[in-house]
Amino acid sequence: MPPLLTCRDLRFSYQNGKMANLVLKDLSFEMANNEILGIMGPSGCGKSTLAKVVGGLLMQTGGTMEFMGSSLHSPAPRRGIQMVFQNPQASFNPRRRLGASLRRVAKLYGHSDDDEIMGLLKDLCMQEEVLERLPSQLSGGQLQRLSVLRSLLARPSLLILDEPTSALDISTQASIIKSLEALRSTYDVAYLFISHDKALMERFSDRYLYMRNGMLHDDDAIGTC
Amino acid sequence: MNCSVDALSVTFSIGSARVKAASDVSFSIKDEALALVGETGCGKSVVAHAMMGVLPSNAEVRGTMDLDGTRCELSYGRYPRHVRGRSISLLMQNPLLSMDPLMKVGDHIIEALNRGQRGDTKKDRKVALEELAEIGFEDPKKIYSSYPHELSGGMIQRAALCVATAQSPDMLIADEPTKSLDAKTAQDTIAMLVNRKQHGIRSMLVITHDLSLVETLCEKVAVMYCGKIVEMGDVRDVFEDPHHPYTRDFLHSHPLKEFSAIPGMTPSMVDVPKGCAYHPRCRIADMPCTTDSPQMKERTGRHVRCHRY
Amino acid sequence: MNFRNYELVIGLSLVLFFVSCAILSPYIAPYGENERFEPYGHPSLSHPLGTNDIGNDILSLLMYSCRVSVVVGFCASAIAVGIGLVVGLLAGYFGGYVDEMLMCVTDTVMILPKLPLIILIGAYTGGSIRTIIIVIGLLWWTSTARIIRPKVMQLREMEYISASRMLGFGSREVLLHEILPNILFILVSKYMLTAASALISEVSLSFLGLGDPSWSSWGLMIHMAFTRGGFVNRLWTWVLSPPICIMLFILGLMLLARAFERRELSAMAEVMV
Repeated sequence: MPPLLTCRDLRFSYQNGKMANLVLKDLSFEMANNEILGIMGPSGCGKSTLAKVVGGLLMQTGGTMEFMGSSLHSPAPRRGIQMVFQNPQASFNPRRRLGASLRRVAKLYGHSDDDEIMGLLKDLCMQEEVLERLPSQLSGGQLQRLSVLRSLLARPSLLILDEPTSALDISTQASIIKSLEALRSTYDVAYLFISHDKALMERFSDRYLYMRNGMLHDDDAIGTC
Repeated sequence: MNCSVDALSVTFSIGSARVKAASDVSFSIKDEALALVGETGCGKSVVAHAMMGVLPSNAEVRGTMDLDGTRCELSYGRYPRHVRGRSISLLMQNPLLSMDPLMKVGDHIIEALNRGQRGDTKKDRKVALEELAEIGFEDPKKIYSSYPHELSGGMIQRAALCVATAQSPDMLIADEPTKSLDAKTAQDTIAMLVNRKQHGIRSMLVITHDLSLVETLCEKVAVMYCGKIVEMGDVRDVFEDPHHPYTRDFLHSHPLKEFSAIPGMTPSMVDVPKGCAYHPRCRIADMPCTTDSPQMKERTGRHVRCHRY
Repeated sequence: MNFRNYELVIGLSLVLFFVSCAILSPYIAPYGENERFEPYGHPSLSHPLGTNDIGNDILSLLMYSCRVSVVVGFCASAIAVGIGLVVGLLAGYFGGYVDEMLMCVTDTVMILPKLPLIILIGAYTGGSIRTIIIVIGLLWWTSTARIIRPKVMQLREMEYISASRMLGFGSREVLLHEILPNILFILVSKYMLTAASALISEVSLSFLGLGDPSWSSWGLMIHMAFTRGGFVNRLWTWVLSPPICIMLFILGLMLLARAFERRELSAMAEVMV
């Protein structure tokens, strides 16, 4: 089976006037279909940047990326890749009801009625009435589930989870991770799971890599970022 | 310092709705650290703010607080001002936001020391530098003349703690001190709080949902759900042998334990279930649970609010 | 009803009052615009605010003058805010060279001395209402652009915009459906403020005699009151009623602007927590 995602010598630097700030340094890794790969590291080590580069929100300044056989060289949208973000409250248009926001996405992906959304709501153990609410009226946990729902409407093969539960309580975290585990098989999706929580990483991911100072390692030598 | 809170209730009037953010909260802290644990929205921050008298005017506060025998009124406008900052100090949730971005750290400490009045600049500076050194900064002078945004997350937390304890309060309330900090910084913060506890601040109320913080720092723990304390007791006892169903489920949802999800969702505070608030999700819920609100029962030092206890 | 709603209610009442006066003036004004009576008349039952130097009824003139103010105020503001919105949206969302170029243009237009320019152009082209509206529209947009741009830049960083991009929504879609609804309150607020500003410019021009002579205007009335003996004859209603109208209209617009600004702030507070 060819790998789902291959990254070779991936580089990314921010341009700060005349200075270039190298954030990702020659990262190389692979992901298989339907796999949960974890990227673990302290804050500031560049894992969110990696998420954005893989997702196409930032363009790599060096190296190559291959996804499902073809090379990734243009910015988002990238077919087959979606992302769930860390901050649930900012993940939806604050002025629009959730139902309207989700229906717009459903329409874009050719679902003419609400069946898709309803089915996913059930898979995520949510009630229909959340669709009538504004983001400010829902809890972080509910918004994160809806964020996952929205991503799944696009039927991605790879879902990037950028610290999806860092802003949530441990009980909400547990139920969302469980839902994600169930959805993995139902929708045949791979997860790139970014986190700083080692215990969670051990439980959720099939395997994980450490990230420090913009570089990937297989082990975790004690050191600061 | 002996601090005890008796039957504290806080009700917010938001438009036409009345939200009971906390009800019948009672506990006492005697030269120890009590952790107030629970999910977001369970009312723990509200309790802390009530104890500091910093709730907004649309909050109806009932109940009293006793400090070493002196009774304190907690309702709006009647809170004794000399208590805030002197007897009880609050370390807020987001340290960067709780500091004035236009003031240097040193100025913050001096402001806390003098309570806004003008003091002797040379003496103040000396005291402030001493405080900074005591809390563990390696270069107090540099931190003294830095602005909050120039410091990293852990350093701001440390600086904020320094400001909060500058007046040597009898009790410190720490509101989610390790929230949104990564593992290493959280560990440093915990160590810093332990240090403070051993050298000066003997009583602490720690609001958190970080269980490792609770285990390392606190002697007692009170678990809150939908505005009420459902279980309270010694940390080790409660963690090893939780008696309330919610405490059990909550502890087991940790990735290091069973990592099992609690069925259902936490109810919104506007729409709390009748009877015992936990009964829709409780595995052992029975007849009285759906209609009657359980009272707190005490048995060998453990307080549990459950009909089935 | 609390204090905040008073701003909206009073503001809206004032503005609607003057707008209706403008629309309905031919029907509800007691006398015609050019009807003449006894000149320099003091307030009386038949002429509640008196008459001017050529005998026109002041109250009727006030009502007819609403039209110019309303038309210039709202039309010029629409053009100005429209331009400012487009500039702010594009500069804020795309950044980079687009932003630099647009900000260059903005800075240049900002430096231009507005009132002297309008006076010059007015004097050159004869000062018709259409010219005034267009010139104000082309000069008054910079402050709107400068307010919209940072707001758009702030919204652009929010996760839901990134999500929209990843899901495949194009820039036009995102700007229209995700960003625009979130700057609507501030846009309306700015629209009211710009209308107030345009109104003052029109009054100033008319006061200097450079406005459109075929429309009666409050500014012109003040001008006449001073130069044609209003003061001397102690006809305070003639001297003071136009400024009071101007003040009340502007007050209404400012209150509306404030009301929308408040809603913007509270909407922002919900998200930023």
